[in-house]
Amino acid sequence: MNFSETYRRMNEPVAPSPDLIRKTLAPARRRRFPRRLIAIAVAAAVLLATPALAVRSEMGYYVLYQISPAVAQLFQPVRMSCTDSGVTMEVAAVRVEGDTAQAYITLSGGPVDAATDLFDSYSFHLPFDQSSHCERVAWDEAAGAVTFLCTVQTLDGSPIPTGGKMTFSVRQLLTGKQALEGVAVDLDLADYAGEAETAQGYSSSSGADGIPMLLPGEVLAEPAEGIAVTAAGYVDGSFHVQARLGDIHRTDNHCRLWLEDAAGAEAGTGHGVYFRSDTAVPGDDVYEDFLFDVPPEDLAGYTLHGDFYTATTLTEGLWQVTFPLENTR
Amino acid sequence: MPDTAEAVAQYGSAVYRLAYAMTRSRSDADDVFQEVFLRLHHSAPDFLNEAHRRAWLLRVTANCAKSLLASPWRRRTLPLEDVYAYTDPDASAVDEAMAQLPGKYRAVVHLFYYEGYQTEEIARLLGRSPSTVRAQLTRARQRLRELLKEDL
Repeated sequence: MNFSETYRRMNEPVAPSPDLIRKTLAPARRRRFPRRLIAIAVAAAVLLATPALAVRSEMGYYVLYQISPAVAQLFQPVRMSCTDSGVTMEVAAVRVEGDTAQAYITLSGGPVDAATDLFDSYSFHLPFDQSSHCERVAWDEAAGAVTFLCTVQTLDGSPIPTGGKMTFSVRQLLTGKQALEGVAVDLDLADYAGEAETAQGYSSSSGADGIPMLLPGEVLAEPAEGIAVTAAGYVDGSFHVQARLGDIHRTDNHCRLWLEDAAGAEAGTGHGVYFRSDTAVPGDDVYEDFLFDVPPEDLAGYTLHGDFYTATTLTEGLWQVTFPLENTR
Repeated sequence: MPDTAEAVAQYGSAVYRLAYAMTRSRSDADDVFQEVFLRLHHSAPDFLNEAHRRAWLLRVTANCAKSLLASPWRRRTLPLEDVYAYTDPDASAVDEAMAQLPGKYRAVVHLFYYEGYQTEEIARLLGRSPSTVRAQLTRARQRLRELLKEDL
């Protein structure tokens, strides 16, 4: 299957209906005004009924934010630092100019290191429509603090409203990240030119479709911490090399393996198939078999190479700061 | 005021496809579609060129779909007629695999594979950093490869 072509083809029939287009082009005011009124009325009712819920409870805050971001942010107390699981988040500086607000936010303590990854777990809460992003910008070795730059832009290009507050939250931190790229794996492939045993009791998450998995054995090579080559050999005419990815969902460990000929050219490129035990529990390892279309008699002419991406620690918690959108002194 | 009818004619399908790719629901995609063109009508931004207008519409679509996905009142189960069904086994498998990705990954995959944007352009469009988009694309591909048993 060619994913790109298939994806394009399956999107062709996806289109707005003529009725939807007609409704969209009808006068907008008919729809917009009542919705806003309803939202404001509901927000007011929630506030009047349970103000403490809205201000102090995390769930109340998120519910209120869905109804009225402006009201939710108005009542959200300023909190310039937050500590959870030994990690402290602090607002270091805020700059507002035109349609853009930027905040430098630091993380320090616990497992925080120079390559700390927020693991796509961050979120912004603001009282207006915006686009926002966050990127790691600095590491202070002496303070053990990593700095992220959070940037917010109003969607329509209007100036950042005065008096507003921004809440920035993070729920997961991935640390101990390492990338080893183009690494030669110390494995004499000619030793694995025979048929290999296959495993039972494993399947890929959507059913394997008859592709067999090598029986995991002892570690043949460990090119990166947390990723090991655990089997190699032929099954049904394809050369398989198996990588064990330790605790993949908490470490984001992943890799790509390929074969190179004596001239350094990539050859016999295949694809990877993931397998996990049918009785897997969270934390179990995942195996990925890489399949190559290379005859056994040619195997001695190739060497195994790979890119390896690993991390050691996933820290979960809630780090949340709220600060006024105004320039810090 | 912007020519909303012309914008719908020119970019309606692109907006609707991104909305559907992210929400996986025709009724949610309908809501996002209406909201996007309503915002165009109300905010009437000045566009430098067509590419800017297209990028603005897709950015607003992604934001609206993201807000909708985060809503606690959004229906978690959908009637069969609310999704597109495919008779082709490959399309059906891709559709099923895409359904298992988080919405933010689906947006990146859609913009990369369908709209043909590069990761830097997707980053600007979604308001994410290029490294975040690259990481999300890698993670999405990894998950799709796992689900489809295909090299992407």
